[in-house]
Amino acid sequence: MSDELRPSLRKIFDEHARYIWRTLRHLGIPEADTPDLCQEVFVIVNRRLSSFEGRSALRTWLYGICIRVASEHRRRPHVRKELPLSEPPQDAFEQNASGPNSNLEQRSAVQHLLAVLDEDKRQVVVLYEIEGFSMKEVAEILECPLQTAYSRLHAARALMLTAFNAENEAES
Amino acid sequence: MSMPDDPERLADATPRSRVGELLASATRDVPSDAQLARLAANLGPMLDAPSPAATASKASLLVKLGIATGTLALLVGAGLSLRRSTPLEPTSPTAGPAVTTKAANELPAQPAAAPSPEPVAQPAPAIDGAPAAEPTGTSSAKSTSQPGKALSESALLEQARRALNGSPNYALQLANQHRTRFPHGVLSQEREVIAIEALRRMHRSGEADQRATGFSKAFPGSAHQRMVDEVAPK
Repeated sequence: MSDELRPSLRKIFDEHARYIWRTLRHLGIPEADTPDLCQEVFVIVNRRLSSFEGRSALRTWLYGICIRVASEHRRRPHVRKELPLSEPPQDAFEQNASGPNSNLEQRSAVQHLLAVLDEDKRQVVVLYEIEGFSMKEVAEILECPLQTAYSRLHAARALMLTAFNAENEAES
Repeated sequence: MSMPDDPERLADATPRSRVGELLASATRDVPSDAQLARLAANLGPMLDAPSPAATASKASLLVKLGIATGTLALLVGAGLSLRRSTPLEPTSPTAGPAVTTKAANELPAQPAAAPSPEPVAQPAPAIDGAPAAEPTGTSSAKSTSQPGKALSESALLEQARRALNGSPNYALQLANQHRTRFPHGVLSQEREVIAIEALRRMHRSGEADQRATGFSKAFPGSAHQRMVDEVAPK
């Protein structure tokens, strides 16, 4: 890809930062760590942008970096475990004020739902069900065979449904 | 985008299950404008900077310009000293006249422009994952009032980058300070590039080469390698 056609980091940030942030959260990155990890994603993007050749779509390439940053972070020994949102995080009030998602209970429920999945299945669910990638793109991002991605999605759906029903039964 | 063979997304199914509703709500969970603004601020000038490839050629040009400016300053200085009977004030051997003034204005915590003693001993080349070593000896870094102490990682390096033109010694101090404060920082590669260029500008070629070798080992395949090769050619 020629330098003229390659988007600037600013443009990538403006168009994708909020979705990268959201994806990190859904991949289980604690709220407190999300800004740092998001920053790390863009530092890596900046570093590698000159070697991006456009063989894959920019968005696919970007999410590939995001997935790997989150995955590496989860393997770090000092990483804090994600806790259910029993208390609103500090930023929640700010988020309420600006109103993109004012329903803290719902956010908490989403995190609970995704928390029943292991990392591999969670990645597929986040990319396919939430971020709207095709399964072919999901397989490309995760660097796994397409059939494996389908299997993970199928298993993840079953797990989420079971966990959701079990929780509802327990409550009733 | 869905492909024909892709299963229907839970959020798109009708009737939508409760799980589908939750997944649909997840798309609304985005950061606030304030959170994004803070993130942009942390990324700092990197966001609007040219790509590393463009920066590499620019860095090379700046190095050449710096050398040319320094040579011109020496020639003019020599000419003036021949014409005047009074000696000139000593000037920093590494500073070009115009850029020095600009950089000095931008750096409130910068030491005086008069030649200052170099750090006695520099730590070994920085490699991510290895604990950062404190500079040893009574270096000028310690004698200054801890420049850039409260700065964030990106701000500290931005200050170092800006100091490169006018005061490479100060730029090196800041880069080494970054290594001490952020041994596993996400901007470690950028720090090393600044440090190598600073060493080269101070004509400390041996240390620059050593640090460049450390960089290549620590960051194989880095997009900054070309810049390092230009600044410290093998």
